[in-house]
Order: sequence, then structure tokens, then C-alpha cells
Amino acid sequence: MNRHLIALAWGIAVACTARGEVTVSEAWVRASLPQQAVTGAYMKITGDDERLRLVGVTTPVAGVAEIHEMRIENDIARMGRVDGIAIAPGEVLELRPGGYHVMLMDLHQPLPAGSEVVLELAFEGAGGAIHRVPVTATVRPLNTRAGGHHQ
Amino acid sequence: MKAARGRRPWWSRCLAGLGLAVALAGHAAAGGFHARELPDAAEQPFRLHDAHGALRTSTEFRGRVVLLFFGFTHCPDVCPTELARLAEAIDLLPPDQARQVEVAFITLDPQRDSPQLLRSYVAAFSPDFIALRGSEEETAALAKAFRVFYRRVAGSAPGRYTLEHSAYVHVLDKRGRLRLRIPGSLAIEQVAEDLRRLLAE
Repeated sequence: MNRHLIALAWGIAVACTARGEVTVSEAWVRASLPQQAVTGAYMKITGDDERLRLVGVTTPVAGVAEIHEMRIENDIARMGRVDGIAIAPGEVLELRPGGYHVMLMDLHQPLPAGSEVVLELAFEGAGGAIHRVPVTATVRPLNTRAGGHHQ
Repeated sequence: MKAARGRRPWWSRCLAGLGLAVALAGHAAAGGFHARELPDAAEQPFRLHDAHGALRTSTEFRGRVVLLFFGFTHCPDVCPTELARLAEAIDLLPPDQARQVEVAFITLDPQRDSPQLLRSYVAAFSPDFIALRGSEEETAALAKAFRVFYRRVAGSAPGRYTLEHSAYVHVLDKRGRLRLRIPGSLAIEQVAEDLRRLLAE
């Protein structure tokens, strides 16, 4: 009986701490070269138990960070800014080459492979509250094809 | 389903097999490439400066297979992915065949892509890749000749424009004829197979 109570309390505690906690994993940024003012940031975002929207990104390494969507339509690569991306409860949103990504523009300096970039993601909750989640991304080589090649 | 198959006469299966064999033979006769074949393969000349300032013309690449990719370095996504794919496909070839394949990255954004930037950009994928850069007019004319679509899309500030562009790789055979277009969806092994087939011609 006692053990059940402990388990129940533990379950409640986990459920409470899990609320409002988005998790971000496998964050990486493509390395950039001198004179190359733009690059992309990619990651996996796991939603929490409420409906969220990724609405913004800031980083000290770039003048501007925007959420972009890349898509191929009739063999033409099109890219455009999106205002936000909805994340359903528990959904895993993957920002990856060929899809959504964070476009880092006006880079202040080249980002060499192996260095780290700090990003802050802003999520809007169902009630309009903004949660800010800091993320540290690893800079991967320029020729990285997708999650982890050429590592 | 099982019962129906059991009732099928033996010759119907033979006919189906024959049909499949004919279809496969037809596929091979049409070239059998995984990439899209251009029905009227014609010589497609080009003449541009590389990132070291040397004038490069299509005739110097005769006897080799040339992969041309039109892109720009401020493209965070499609361009690096495509160049990395080409490098991997060439790595699948034996060294003597790999040496007979030339990859040229042609910038669609000569305004921002300086020769210096292009040099270090292509080198990040392979020491053997070359970058070609023309004036805005030369670029537009060459893109038109290759039927490459590109369009500048304004960003949130004047220097932040991006480009929409055709995402396939153009393949010239050993005689300089534009033969194939490789879409980004093609598997790397299939790209390598097509290269092998072209080199064997």
C-alpha cells in the first residue's frame, strides 16, 4: 500500500514537473565560412502536454534569426519565412535540411565546425504566455548532409 | 486469394513472366538511368571563370562526365545537401572512375558569392570540386540555356534576399551532351550507378 502511495506521489511529481517543459535535442548548426552571412540551425523539439507554437528564435551569433520552411515544388527549391510552427501535445517537431529550419542571418563571425552556438527559442502556449527555452547547438561541418553524417 | 492462384493455368504465369522480362528489356533499352533522361541530348557548351580566375570551357572536360549544380552559398539547405550527396556518390566509384567525374558549382548569386568565398565553399565538399562564376548577364544566359529557373526573393532587409532555384543536378556525358537531370530525391547509390553507366559509354 505504502509503495503504491509512493509511486502515485512520484507519478504526480513527474507529471507536474513535465508541465510546460518542451525538450529540445540534437540541436546543430551548419558551419559557415568567412563572407558567408547565412546558415541554418536544426533540432528536434518535443512538445509538452499543451498546444504550443514556436514563434521566435534569438541568438547572439546572428543579427537576425527567423523560422523558415524549405520545400521542393516542381523541382524548384523554395524557401520562405513562417510566423510560427504549431506543435501538438507530445508531438516531435523536427527541424531538418529540406524542411523547417532556423535561418541565421547577418552572422557576426564565421561559425567553425566543433564550436557551440547558444539559441533561445520562444514558444507561445495556448493561453498566449511565452516560454523561453535556451538551447546549445553544436556546429557541424558545412558538408553535413543530414542528422549526423560526416560527424 | 490462395485458391484463385492455385486455379491459374501454368501458362498464365509464364506469360506474366515474359511480360515482366519484356518490360525490363524495354527499360534498359531506353537507357535504364535512374535520373531523368533528356530526350534530345544536345551539346550544351559553357564558358565561365572559375574561382581561381581561370577561364573554363566545356570542351576541356571532353572524355569526362560533368555534374553541374546551379546554386548559391547563402543557401543553408538544398545546396550543401546536394553537393555533399554528389561527393558521397563519387566516393562510391572506384578511384579511376571517380577521377573521370568533374563537379562544377555554378553560382546564381555572383553579387554575394565572391571568388574567395566560392573557393572555400566548394573545397568544404571536395578538393576536386570547382566553382564557376559569371556576371549577372552571363549567369542569366547560362541558366536559360540549361533551363534553370531562379528568382530573387526579397528578405527582411536588402542584403538578406534569398533565391528560389531549380534543385536538380545537370549531367553532361563524355561528349558534352546534356543527358540527365538528377533530382534531390534520387538515392546516392542510384546516382553512382548512373555515373558508372555514363562512364562506360
